[in-house]
Amino acid sequence: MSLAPARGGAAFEIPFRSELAALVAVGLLGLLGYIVFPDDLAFLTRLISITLLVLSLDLATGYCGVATLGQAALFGFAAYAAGNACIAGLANPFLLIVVGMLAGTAAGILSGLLVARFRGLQQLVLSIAFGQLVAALANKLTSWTGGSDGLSGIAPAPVFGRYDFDLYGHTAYWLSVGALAIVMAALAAFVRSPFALACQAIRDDDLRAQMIGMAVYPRLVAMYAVSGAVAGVGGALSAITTGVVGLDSVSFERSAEALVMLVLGGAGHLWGALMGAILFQVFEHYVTTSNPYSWLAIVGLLLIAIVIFAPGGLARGLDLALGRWTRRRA
Amino acid sequence: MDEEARLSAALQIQGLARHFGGVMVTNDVSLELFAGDRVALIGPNGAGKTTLVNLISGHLKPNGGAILLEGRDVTHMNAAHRVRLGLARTFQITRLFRSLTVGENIALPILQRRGFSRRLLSRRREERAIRQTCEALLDELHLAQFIDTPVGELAYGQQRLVDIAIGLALEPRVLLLDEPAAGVPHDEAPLILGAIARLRPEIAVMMIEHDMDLVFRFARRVLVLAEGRLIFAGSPSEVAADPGVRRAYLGSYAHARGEA
Repeated sequence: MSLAPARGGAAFEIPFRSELAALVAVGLLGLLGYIVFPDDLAFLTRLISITLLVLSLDLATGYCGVATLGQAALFGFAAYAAGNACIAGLANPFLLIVVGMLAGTAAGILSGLLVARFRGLQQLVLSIAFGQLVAALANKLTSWTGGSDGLSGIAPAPVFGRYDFDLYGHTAYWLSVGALAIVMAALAAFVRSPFALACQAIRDDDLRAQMIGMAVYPRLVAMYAVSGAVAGVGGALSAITTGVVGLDSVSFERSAEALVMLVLGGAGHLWGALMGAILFQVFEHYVTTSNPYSWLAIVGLLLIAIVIFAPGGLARGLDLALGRWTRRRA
Repeated sequence: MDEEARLSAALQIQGLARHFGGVMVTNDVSLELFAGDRVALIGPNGAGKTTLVNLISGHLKPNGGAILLEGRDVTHMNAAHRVRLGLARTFQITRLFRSLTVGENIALPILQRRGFSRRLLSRRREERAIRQTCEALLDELHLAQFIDTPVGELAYGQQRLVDIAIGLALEPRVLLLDEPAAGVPHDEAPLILGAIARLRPEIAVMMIEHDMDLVFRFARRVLVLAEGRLIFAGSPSEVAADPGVRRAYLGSYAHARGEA
């Protein structure tokens, strides 16, 4: 919900401004990636699916204040669902993304029903428990997940019946960029909605939110459903573009890493989540190849620096710095 | 109880009781608030004033008794439900949505009341209408220029006003104010006084307050609570003259004033 001041006398306002900006920005970022890393499209494609996971986490943690370390369960469940649907004969990649979205939504509701009942540490522990439960099931239900070998043989049909998933990963990359752009545009509209504003109110003070008549629990579960849908798009993309789904996609490490990326970029901020996910993964990609032994230490130092110098994450830090800069110039 | 009075009371409390362990914090309290009432609830520290407000608003469950809102039994309803039926409160320590702007803090209860708060997409025409409502409400409290200011950047007295504004945005029939002037610096206190004086006349207001100047200026009726019981009810001047009340409460107040 934006309460943008009614501009005096402004007869013309660009409709869907923030949504268009999101589409264009993600498109340009995609183009930039394509030009700068033409030989690393597989990496960039993976980066995009994880970015969707971080965005979904931002909805739950950043916008609602729900502490969770089990978000990968939603992502992984959707990946397995899309993978199995594909193996069962549903080859259209767009339909597979829809399958992932639905599966993610279902997992989100289930997880939300459990996790949103509680606050604080109990909530965190329950989210981990939910994640571990899904991970254990993925390991056991080998007929559905392939167990520790992973689910393979996912071969989606060409996009629009024309663009094959080629060896160089062009199709996979542009499909992912397109999906991310659409999700970002949809979320840009969504986070301005009355619903999202209400979620932010719950994050700030859930007792006060109740005292304006708000039913807190159903709202959190609903937000979890949306969050699950976004994670589901990411999971489906990862299954479609890599052709395999492994146990790592539901792992605790994946959940924790997503949280680190979110904190790095700035929770409660759509562009912060996007920025954190991209920077962390690009950084990881380069530092692991140049310095495979101590890259985690470097990431750790970087995080400490961010938490100390820009506690709201990179996005907020940048926002403040820009504000200071423009004020000084004014 | 006369049936007509029961129906016309905005809020009716019957034999409300609450104990913590063995201590009766609220002991057989009965009271009524009518539309347009201006009631002050006073009593020494530990008398159970805030507990009573928490029981009425639904933050605490009573061990006995009943709460009726416009004749409707709300004793077993949760707090959010009571708000939707027209009962609003403010808090002794300001509780606001701290990361949001003043306008957004006020917009939330308005959206909630109009049933828009579940909308997944915002509509421009509605946004404008709600902004106008916010502006009008903030104007009443002389806060209009802060509509786009993050609420955390306001002075404390102004934050208290936003708290009251949230209560008003809910268009309540009954408003409970828990020490609205507590912690407000002296030079900002007139802001609160002015706002309370301008509350819409049809709302039934009950205020917990320690500041006797404020009580005497605001209240047409005063209820005195001591050790969980209502020990006196009457006009401000009757309360001030009652020796029992003086013993229980006002004496220590006068004493504290003399010292200060």
